[in-house]
Amino acid sequence: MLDTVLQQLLIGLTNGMVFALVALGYTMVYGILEFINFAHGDVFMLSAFVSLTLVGALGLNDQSSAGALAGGLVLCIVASSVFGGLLNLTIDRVVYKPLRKAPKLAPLVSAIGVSFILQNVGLFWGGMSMQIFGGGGQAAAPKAFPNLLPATNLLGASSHVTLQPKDVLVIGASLVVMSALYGIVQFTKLGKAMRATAQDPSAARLMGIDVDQVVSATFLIGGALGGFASVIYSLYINTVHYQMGYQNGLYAFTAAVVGGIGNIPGAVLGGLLLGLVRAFSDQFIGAQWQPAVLFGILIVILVFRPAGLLGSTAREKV
Amino acid sequence: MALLELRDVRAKYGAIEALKGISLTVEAGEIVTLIGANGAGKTTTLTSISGLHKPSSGSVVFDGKDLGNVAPHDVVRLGLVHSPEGRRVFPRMTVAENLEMGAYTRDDKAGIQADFARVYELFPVLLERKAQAAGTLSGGEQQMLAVGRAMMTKPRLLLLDEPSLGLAPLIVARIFQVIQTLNQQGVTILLVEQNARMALKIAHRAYVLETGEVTMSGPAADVLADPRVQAAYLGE
Ligand SMILES: Nc1ncnc2c1ncn2[C@@H]1O[C@H](COP(=O)(O)OP(=O)(O)OP(=O)(O)O)[C@@H](O)[C@H]1O
Ligand SMILES: [Mg+2]
Repeated sequence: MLDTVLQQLLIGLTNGMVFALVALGYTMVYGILEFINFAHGDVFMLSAFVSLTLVGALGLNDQSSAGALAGGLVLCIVASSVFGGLLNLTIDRVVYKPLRKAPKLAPLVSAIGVSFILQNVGLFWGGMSMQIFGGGGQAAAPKAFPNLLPATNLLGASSHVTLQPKDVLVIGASLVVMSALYGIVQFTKLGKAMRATAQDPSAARLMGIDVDQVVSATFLIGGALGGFASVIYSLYINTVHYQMGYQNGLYAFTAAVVGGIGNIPGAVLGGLLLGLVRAFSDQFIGAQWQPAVLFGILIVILVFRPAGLLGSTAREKV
Repeated sequence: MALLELRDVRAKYGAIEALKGISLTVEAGEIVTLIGANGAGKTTTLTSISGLHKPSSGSVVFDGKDLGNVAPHDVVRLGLVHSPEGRRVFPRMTVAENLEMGAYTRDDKAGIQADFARVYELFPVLLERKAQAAGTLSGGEQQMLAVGRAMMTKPRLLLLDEPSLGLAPLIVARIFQVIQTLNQQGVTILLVEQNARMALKIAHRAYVLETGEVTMSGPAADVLADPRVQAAYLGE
């Protein structure tokens, strides 16, 4: 029983880290523009295709040498993060920015549109990679992402709890990235400008902050977090699929709302909570009930804390 | 040459014209006050100057430079700062961080440190509360922070929009005292006030604004003594 609980804790934590990383992208953009970038999940998905393509091009698989795998892994993380950041930035410049002063539904619908367009790109990319790397199956089929880390149990072969190197990587790397983000937002000039802009864009302008630049930086960082998350997710799940952004994006968005949309620690908390609840509900209630249990609990949380766990309910003095 | 000059400035919100051709000047070293009833266009005059709401026609010239094509975030770098109506401090940032945001465009570390000291000396309460979130300060403290934050930009011209709004008389007196002190230290001030009497007492010159037009201007003492002003704005 204890083993089961520990195991689910681990699964929940690793999944939760991925949700948290993706949730950060939603929440950071929302914090500044009060706008949900519904295409964010698909930026995550396409970033995974970047790594998938790289892994294929380099011919990496579980037979490759440890050095090649480590190098490939680092390369994937860098490439997907840069790609995710730049893609997100481009989407903002091309699609959302012209709509900044439009009624709120216009950018929202556009974001949903971009989401579908990116899914189509993913589908096309999937078909292409089939041809390039000689794999079989349909364009729409999940693509195998090789396990770039050894599948040994770090707790020993006889342990009932499985802790693989990739678990350690997912949790460790996520913590490093989240701490870095915290440091940027809390202590750097850019981070302070981001917070000021989120709290009062007009006042930020009056202090000399170029709000457009801050918005761009936010899309860039949010997209890069999504790109990073896509690599650790692919590594963890070992498949890449053109619809992987849809479900994970929806979960991550929910996590951001439960944590308190616009609130950075809230996104992390919401992501971890979602991952843990999901793992335990799968184990003890049944995977077939997952969406109902998960969203049931989240609705209850929101009923009691409509602004989310860390969202501010207190009115500020005017 | 005046430090600030507005020539026939018009500003619109959709089809509504809030400013119908405002002309005014502020000379270096002055305190000029702009008084007028609610909705007269006082705030719009200030946002037209700082560029938050660009005029539809007319010109705003600061220190010889036409601000028509200068983005609001670049206006600060020229030495013109606008402390907006309603204080608008960053509520979830600390007092010190708010002041730091005032110095956002600067990189003279020593000068910034000196200005921190100057602000804390002027408003000791801000030093006491420097690690506290600005949103948890009292209204008066927030106003002090707003003024302090504006000072951190190292302005030559400070636009103040209703700094006394909603504050207790004692705090109001303190704010007006600070405005005078800043002015003596060389900061030129354009002050928008509901509290016309106090504003006219500390100002050198005044403009009276009515529904988007300047209807009277002159030395503050003359405006203060004008029977029409007394009837309309001073409740006498
Ligand atoms: N954002 C806006 N959209 C539409 N109309 C506006 C806007 N801001 C101001 N106005 C209108 O422009 C006119 C001038 O407003 P402004 O805020 O400049 O007046 P004010 O003199 O500062 O008033 P108060 O003393 O109440 O602050 C008013 O009629 C107001 O309704
Ligand atoms: Mg006003």
